Amino acid sequence: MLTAADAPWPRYLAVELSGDGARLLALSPWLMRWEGEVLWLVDLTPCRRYWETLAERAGRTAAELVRELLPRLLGEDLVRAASADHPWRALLLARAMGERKVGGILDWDAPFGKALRDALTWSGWLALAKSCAVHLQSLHQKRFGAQRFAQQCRQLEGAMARLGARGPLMLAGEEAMAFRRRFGSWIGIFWEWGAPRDPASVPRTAAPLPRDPAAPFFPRASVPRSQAPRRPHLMLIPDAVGGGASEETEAPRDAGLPPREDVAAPSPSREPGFPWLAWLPRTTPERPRHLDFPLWRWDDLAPLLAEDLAALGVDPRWQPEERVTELVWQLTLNDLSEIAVSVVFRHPHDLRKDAASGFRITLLQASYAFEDAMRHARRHRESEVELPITSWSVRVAGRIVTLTTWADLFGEAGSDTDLVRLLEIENALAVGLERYTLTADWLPESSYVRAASTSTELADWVTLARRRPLFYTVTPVPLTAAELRGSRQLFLERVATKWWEAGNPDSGRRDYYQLLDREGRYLWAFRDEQGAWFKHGLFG
Amino acid sequence: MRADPPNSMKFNHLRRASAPVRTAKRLSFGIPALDEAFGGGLSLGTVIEWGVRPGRGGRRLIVELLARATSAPWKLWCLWIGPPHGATTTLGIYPPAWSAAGVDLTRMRFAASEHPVEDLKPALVDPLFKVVVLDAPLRLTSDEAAYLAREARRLQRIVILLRDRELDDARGNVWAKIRVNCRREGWLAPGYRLEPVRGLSPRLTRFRASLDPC
Repeated sequence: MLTAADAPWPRYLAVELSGDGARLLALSPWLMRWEGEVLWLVDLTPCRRYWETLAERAGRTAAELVRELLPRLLGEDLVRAASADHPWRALLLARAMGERKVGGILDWDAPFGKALRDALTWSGWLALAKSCAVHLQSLHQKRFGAQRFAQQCRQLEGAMARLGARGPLMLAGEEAMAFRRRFGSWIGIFWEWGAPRDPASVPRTAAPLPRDPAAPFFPRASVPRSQAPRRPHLMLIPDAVGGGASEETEAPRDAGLPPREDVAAPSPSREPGFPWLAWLPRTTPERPRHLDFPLWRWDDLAPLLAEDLAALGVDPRWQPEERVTELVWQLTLNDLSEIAVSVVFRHPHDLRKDAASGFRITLLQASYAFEDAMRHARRHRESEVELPITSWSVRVAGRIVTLTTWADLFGEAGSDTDLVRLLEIENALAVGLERYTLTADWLPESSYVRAASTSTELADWVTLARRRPLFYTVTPVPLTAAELRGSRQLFLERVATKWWEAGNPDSGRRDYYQLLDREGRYLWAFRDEQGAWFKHGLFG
Repeated sequence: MRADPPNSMKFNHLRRASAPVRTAKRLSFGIPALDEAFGGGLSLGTVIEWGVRPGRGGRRLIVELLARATSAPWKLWCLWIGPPHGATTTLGIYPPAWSAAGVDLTRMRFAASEHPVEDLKPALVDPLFKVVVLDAPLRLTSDEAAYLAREARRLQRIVILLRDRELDDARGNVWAKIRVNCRREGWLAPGYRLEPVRGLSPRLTRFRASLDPC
């Protein structure tokens, strides 16, 4: 069972509410209206580090904090909320909660959440599949036919009635491929999304790790136009999704935010195949500039960009309590080609506050993104020649709303603690700063997470690490007989692996040794049950 | 017959011995022999260059210093900057061992960069981080080394430059006040060998320390 400290960071929230959903913008800029104004999906990934830091200040885990913030944010309007590591699972759990009329906030992996989703009926599952089908259709998803899908749903319904299976639990453990074969690929995909993941495949950081573990968590935005997410290609949700709720979004009543609309844009987490329709502002603060003569050096561009940022800061289309998470700087070159420079902030950034320091932090992030984008463009053109810029526009592409009513929780208003300073420093850096927290697990690779959380009592587990090295390789490296020849070995500990997760009972234990090789290095090595040696770390 | 002293006084001498030395802005290693060699510890505002080949145990002593720095009464913010994963090594930080060595992970931040000074300049100009360790930087120009020394003096920060090789008189960082080679010796009862290159008395060459092997 997961303890509070081990509880994974909820990547997605499915929130059922009455009233104004725009308030969820206080949690993340990435929202999706799943069913009209009633059921919303929130992708919490972009602001994960921010919430972790604030949770640390408040002495809670990030997951605890989100569970505390939601009721404060929505009050009586919160009907129920479900968190999970995949949007489909969050929706499934919300549906299961709805079937049982359960309110509150539950996690997919929590015992009660598990019990509820086990009780989900096929009618609930199919209703969710049909609502997803509407989104797939509105996105013109390839190889998706609405009529065919409706027929497959009827087939599934009939088959389950014949089997006497009340809910998906009866078929737990069934392969997605079996569903694909019998009821079509989309039913199979939905089944796969809802099936419990192999725990070994779930990242311990609860959010996708960058390919390079040393790279910053949020890639430092250098997205050439060819790879940049195609954002405003407008796509309104048809009536059917919201049950006729609305096809035009009204301006949120209380938040005073600009009107938004549903736009086909991949969420930052980019769950493959999931039909994400981001709920984005219809108009964004934007500042165009036409240069009198081409420029290419950053030192020449920076003062002009600072002027534009100053103009953006007083744009009436956004509110003082909004913070920027992403700027897009669209450059037009003298050959009329365009480069989109995406300036992503690790934490929500206060552009107005930054104005006092001449936009130091914004310009630093912009310079990193600009250099990367130009380097990429030159490589793409196989040319070392500088690329002259003739015009640009800079616009706010991502923002969240900060609420002053939360100041009592974090003490943010007016305070300048070290953690708040760290947020600002991290926003100004070219590479991210990592921090680690220990977890209650004996296996080396599972004994920590790359995140902030409030640790429970871990003294016993720390003692376990006293004979382990300061540096280790995530993937053990086989040691050859030649490398072992002439080495000295000192037995340290025997570790039982989680063979039941790997599905290989033969990989049951590792005997760890301190190994002094012929070069005089102190290695941390283990011998598995088959007698093979692996290097797993290096003593300081 | 003399009465026993009250408990609060009984262990005062032990408390003094185990408390980190904070006089004269020196951060102690907590290893008496090593502290003695460094005149009570490392003084704030200096750059030291530490020649430690990987896997020879030298980094263990730096982690001991970080354990002192991050815990009470100092509670300093510390930054460890290593090379990017895959550039020269596939090794990463193993945080439980750092914690077991006494490092308070909430006061530690880790970064990886090929150009540490360039990429992390905003963190280096901020007074928040009082101990900065550059672990085997791939690129560090003499100008950058001078800059680090200047910022260390200005911000009263300790900068520790770890080199993956033995230091010698012929080449190295001229801005480092102390330059020293260090490696572990012994198998079951580990000791350490210290070879001062600059800034320390050459008297101390070997000492024992009852540290966990990490």
